[in-house]
Amino acid sequence: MMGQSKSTRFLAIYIGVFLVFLYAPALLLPIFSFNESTIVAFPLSGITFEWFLEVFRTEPLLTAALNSILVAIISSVFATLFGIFAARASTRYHFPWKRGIMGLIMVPMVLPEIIIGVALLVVILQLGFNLSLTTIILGHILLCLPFCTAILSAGFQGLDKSFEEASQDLGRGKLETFWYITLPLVMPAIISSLLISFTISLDEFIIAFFLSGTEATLPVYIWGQLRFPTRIPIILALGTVLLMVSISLLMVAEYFRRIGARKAGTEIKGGLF
Amino acid sequence: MNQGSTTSDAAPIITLESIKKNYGIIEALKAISFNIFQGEFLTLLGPSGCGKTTLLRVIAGFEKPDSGLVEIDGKNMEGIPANLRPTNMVFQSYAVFPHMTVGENVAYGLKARKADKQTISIEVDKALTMVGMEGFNHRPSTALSGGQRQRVALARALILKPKVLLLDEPLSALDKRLREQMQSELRQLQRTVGITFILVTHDQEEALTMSDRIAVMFEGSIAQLASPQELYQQPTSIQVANFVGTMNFLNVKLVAQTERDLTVDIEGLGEISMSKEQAPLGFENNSQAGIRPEMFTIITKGNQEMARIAKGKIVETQYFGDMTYFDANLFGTDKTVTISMRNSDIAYDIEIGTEVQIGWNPNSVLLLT
Repeated sequence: MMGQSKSTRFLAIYIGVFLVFLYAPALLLPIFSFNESTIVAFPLSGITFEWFLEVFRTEPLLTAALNSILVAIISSVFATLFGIFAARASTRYHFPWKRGIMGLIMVPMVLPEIIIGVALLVVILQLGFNLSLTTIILGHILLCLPFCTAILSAGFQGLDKSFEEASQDLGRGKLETFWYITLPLVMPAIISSLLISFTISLDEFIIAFFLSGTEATLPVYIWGQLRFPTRIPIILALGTVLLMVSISLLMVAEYFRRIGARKAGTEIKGGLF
Repeated sequence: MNQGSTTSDAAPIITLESIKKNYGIIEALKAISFNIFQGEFLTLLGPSGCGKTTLLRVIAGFEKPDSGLVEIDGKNMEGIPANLRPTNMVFQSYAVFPHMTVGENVAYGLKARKADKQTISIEVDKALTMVGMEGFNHRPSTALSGGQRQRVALARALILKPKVLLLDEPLSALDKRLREQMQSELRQLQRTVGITFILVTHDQEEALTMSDRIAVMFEGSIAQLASPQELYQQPTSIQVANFVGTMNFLNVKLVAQTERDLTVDIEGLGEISMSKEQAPLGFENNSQAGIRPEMFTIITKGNQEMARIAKGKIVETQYFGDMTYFDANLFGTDKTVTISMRNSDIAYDIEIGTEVQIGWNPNSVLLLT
């Protein structure tokens, strides 16, 4: 009994320390974003909402944020779409070189982003294209695709093949079956894939840095602003806003995932988030 | 191969002609040919991997045969996909769509046919009533038990009034009591709707109780196609006899043969004579005598005279309530035979080690290869 309570106490302390290291730095962000002084140090010199207002008054920042959201939406939609094709093919069909092809799709996951960034830059310039948001989107699709394929493959694998066969047996063609049966049943995986790729794209810096032309995404803009010490509180306020947005986004996604899981009759275990 | 006689005067609804299917080097189906008749309950029976499910899926249109002809209702099915065939299937896992209610599941096929709303609603109610699930329309299908899912899958298939209903081991996931109940319900349903049923199962008891005819399959071929009675009483091979029911096998030696008759010596039982017509081809080598457990009788006071008597010693007993099974070692051999006795007026409380007289009739012996 003694030993058990001792180890339980040790585990509790371990978890406490772990959580502090994991989240304390992120929690400092909101604290300093309310600080009147531009210097990031305790003690706080007074509470203000000025920096938040400043965020919404800074035109280039808003443009960069909109660029980021645009890039993230388009990249996540295309990466998920291609991911659906790849996952569907890899779980339902046999074709030559399947392992190799699937392996190549997964490679960007482990390839250093800086390599991808430089390589894409060289290729795009050689082909004579101008750098723009489009080039960033292309890079982000490449980067997100392995994550989408992995999530969606799991989704398609969990889908009993006989659902699709039953639908065909009852008179639906292959496309209709995909629309009425396959898609609704893998919807939780599709939503997960959209969300993961959206968040990956939203805060991706290296590829965006190499492939951006005159239009910056938010991380690239933030990087540029860090050179000016007086701008730091605005960046902190921006960080706080982003933190809130992503937490609510994940909560909403988790809510839908659970509904989906309940509908599909699968047991709700942990989950992605 | 015996085609059975119960329904052969009816028109064939399905004609199979030398259906072949290979998976790599494995021959899943080796030139299967037979007819299935309008309104019959046909069972494909065999151990796993014998090709029975593959054959069902060839009929349904999920597998393309490498060669051969599938004709349903007089039409060649080559190149016709599953969704355009007049067959419907009940899957082993039922495949009841989890994201739809019971009603939406049953309506699925009619919606695909673009039936109008009112027709769909009436037909769904009818189909659910038929399987004993009236009023379940708005239940989420994830809240159903195994037996209920089975019924929904049946209603969903039967609502389309298929020419043939295909059932892929539909009862294997149910517990014993529910399985037996569903067996008789399925049989009744089949008689009511008059649709041809093709059932795939590895359960010989299920096959015997439900079918008009049974096709026993081994390694991609049909070993015997016959009515349940014929299959049980006149199996054409050791393999079939072994798979359907319990059979005692004893070694035989050919003693003498004339043009019409032959005499064999059965290990532990003695010599019998039989007409050559009853003996299979190639009986001279490797044939075995087969005798069902109920064809043996343990002689006690008061039961009927048997033509022949063998001696043995009880080595094991199993009590089933209505029946008792005895394993008896035949004198002068190392062979043990199983004897089943009905516990009607005589209680067979025979202890292990007791020496008994075992009565049998020569005409209940089958010569098998």
